[in-house]
Order: sequence, then structure tokens, then C-alpha cells
Amino acid sequence: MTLSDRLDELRHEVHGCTLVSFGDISTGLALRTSASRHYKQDYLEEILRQASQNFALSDLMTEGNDLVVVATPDEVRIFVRSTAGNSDVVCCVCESASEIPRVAQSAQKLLNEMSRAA
Amino acid sequence: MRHSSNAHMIAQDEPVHRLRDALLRVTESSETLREEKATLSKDCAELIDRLSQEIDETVLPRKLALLSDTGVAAVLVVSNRRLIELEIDARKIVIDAEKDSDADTVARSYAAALKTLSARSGPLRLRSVCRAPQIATGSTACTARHLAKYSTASSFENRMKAFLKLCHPSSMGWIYWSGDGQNLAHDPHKDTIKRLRVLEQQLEPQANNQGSLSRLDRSGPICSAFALSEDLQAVIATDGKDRLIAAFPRSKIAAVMTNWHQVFKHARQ
Repeated sequence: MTLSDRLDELRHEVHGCTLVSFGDISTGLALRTSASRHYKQDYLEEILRQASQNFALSDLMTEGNDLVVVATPDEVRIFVRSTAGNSDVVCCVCESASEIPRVAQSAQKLLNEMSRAA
Repeated sequence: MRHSSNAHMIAQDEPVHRLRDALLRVTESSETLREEKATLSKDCAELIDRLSQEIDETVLPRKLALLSDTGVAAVLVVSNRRLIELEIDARKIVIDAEKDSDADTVARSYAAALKTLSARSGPLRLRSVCRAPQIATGSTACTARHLAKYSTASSFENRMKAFLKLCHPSSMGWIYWSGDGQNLAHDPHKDTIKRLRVLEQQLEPQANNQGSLSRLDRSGPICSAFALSEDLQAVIATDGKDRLIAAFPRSKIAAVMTNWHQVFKHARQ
């Protein structure tokens, strides 16, 4: 299964998920994306920057944090960072926050597989 | 799944209902419409409902007046189904186009001014005055639909405080800064509050440097969550004026974020 297939699969298994993106948090680049509608590249890069700022804050407070959630009135952005020591990140944009645990688990599984395959 | 499809159907039905209401209104007799125009708005809710309807039916630029027993209490400029300007007692209500750029915040400001006027002036009557010069609908305008949401007293409730009320029982501590300068804290666990204070210091440069934040960060209310320690999650929420930094057990984070999303999502509908 390709990375694009895995992102599609994750998007379909999470209720109300409109975007799943795989990116590099150190460069802020969204490398592969599965989306139910068009998202501009600018938007993807801005939300990755937002994730990076929040992970940086969390890193100052504690170690080993792999999850950041950012909610706006329109959507909930869930960011899961690889625990394998690289800068891979998966970002899911959902309609609600109720899917946070499921997204965290599935995205971390995907990141582990990516890291093993590399 | 059923909830989702019902919600979808309701969303699809809304334009149909609006069209039906518009058609029914077109068929009203001119006498009924005249009577309606002459009706006094007894309170803020009636006033905002009445105004919203008038704004929604006004396309070309017009000046409207609100009359009290003593004369003209307010003048409104309306165009393209939007409230463009509001002047109360000959003083224009000023909207900060940089800070309050979203239609919801603009509507809230106009509605708050109308609420104060209604409380002070008593019953008000709406009257069309004349055509207004052509005015562009800028970022300090709001649609009739946005304004109509503020017809009830509960719509003025501070959403940040409503969120705090909801999540306080599961919180392990919080610090709240109100836009009017109040600073409150709930500190049942001294160590947790100490960590939140450290986080507060880290956030200070960001709070003082709003201008350099990305477009997404400045676009309105926002709430972030991340690990504060192995067992605790930090939540940072702001509506642009008030700010809350709180700690919650890791297991509660989905519920807390759901609470925030519900409070602020409902405010937009």
C-alpha cells in the first residue's frame, strides 16, 4: 500500500475527517495529502507552522510529546508527530474533537510503518 | 451516520426555507407591511429582529432611522443586505477593522450598541429616511443574518467564560486573563500552577507580538492542546480578547476540546 493509499484509508476511517496530510515539521512542507476538497498549499504550510509552534512550546515543558490539537470554530486540526526521532508529522483536519484518540493512534501507527520502511 | 445525514439535510433545507419565507413576504399586502413598519420594537430582541429583516430586504444603499419618543435616536446606513454604519446620538459606532475583522465580531459590536440604546430609549420605531450615497461593503459591515443571531440576551454571554464554566470541574488548575484587565486563577495543585506560570511566560512574547503571527493565528477564536507533563495536557484558549491557560488530565482532552468547539461553533451558526 502506498503512502497516498494509507492517507486515504485514514481519512475514510475517521468520521468527519476532510484532510489527512503527511509532512515534515522541520521544513513545514506538506509532502502528501488526501482531502475531500481542495486545500491551498499555503493553508497546509500555515497549519504545519502552527503545529511546529505548539510542539516547540510543549517540548519546553515536557519530553516525548507526540500530539498537538488546535481547534477553531470551523474545524479541529490534530497533529501527530513521529516518536521515531525524525521530523515526520501527520495532520488530520476533522469536524469535531471526538476523534482525537482514534486519530492519534492510527496516525502514530502510520508514522511507525513509514519509519520502519525508510 | 444518521446524525450526519440529518445535519446535511437541514443544511440543504435552509436555503429552501429562506426562499419560501421571502416568497411569502412578497405576497403580503402593502397594508400589512405598513402596519409592520409602524410597529414599535419593545425590547432589544424585537429591535434586532426587526432591523435584521429590514437589512435583509435592502439591496440599494439606504439610510434608516430609529425613532424614540424624543426624536431620532439612531441612524443606520444599509446596503447590499448589510449594515454598513450605525450612528447613535450622532456618534458613529467605530469598528476596529484590523482587530474585529470577522463579520461575527462586527455584528456583536453593533448588536451591543443597539442593546444599550434599546435599554436607554425604550420602544423604538424604524423608519426609512432616504437613499444613501453608494458605499462599499468593507470589513466593518455585517450581514442581516449575522446581526439576527444577537437578538437574545444569551448571545451576549462571554463565550470564553462559558467554556471555562464547562471545563472547570475537570481542570487541574487554570489562569484566566480577561480583556478588561482581570486576572483570575484556580490553583488546587501548586505544582501544576507553577508549570502553567512557566508556560505563561513562554507565551508572553507571542501575546505582545500579534502582528507577526500567521493569518491563521489571527483569524479569530482558537484553542490549542499539548502535553504539559506525562499525565497532564495544557490547553491555551483565546477569543482575541480573553485568554485561558489550563491543565487537564490526559484522558479528558477530547472532552475539553469538544466543549470548546461546541461553545464557539454554536456561536457562529
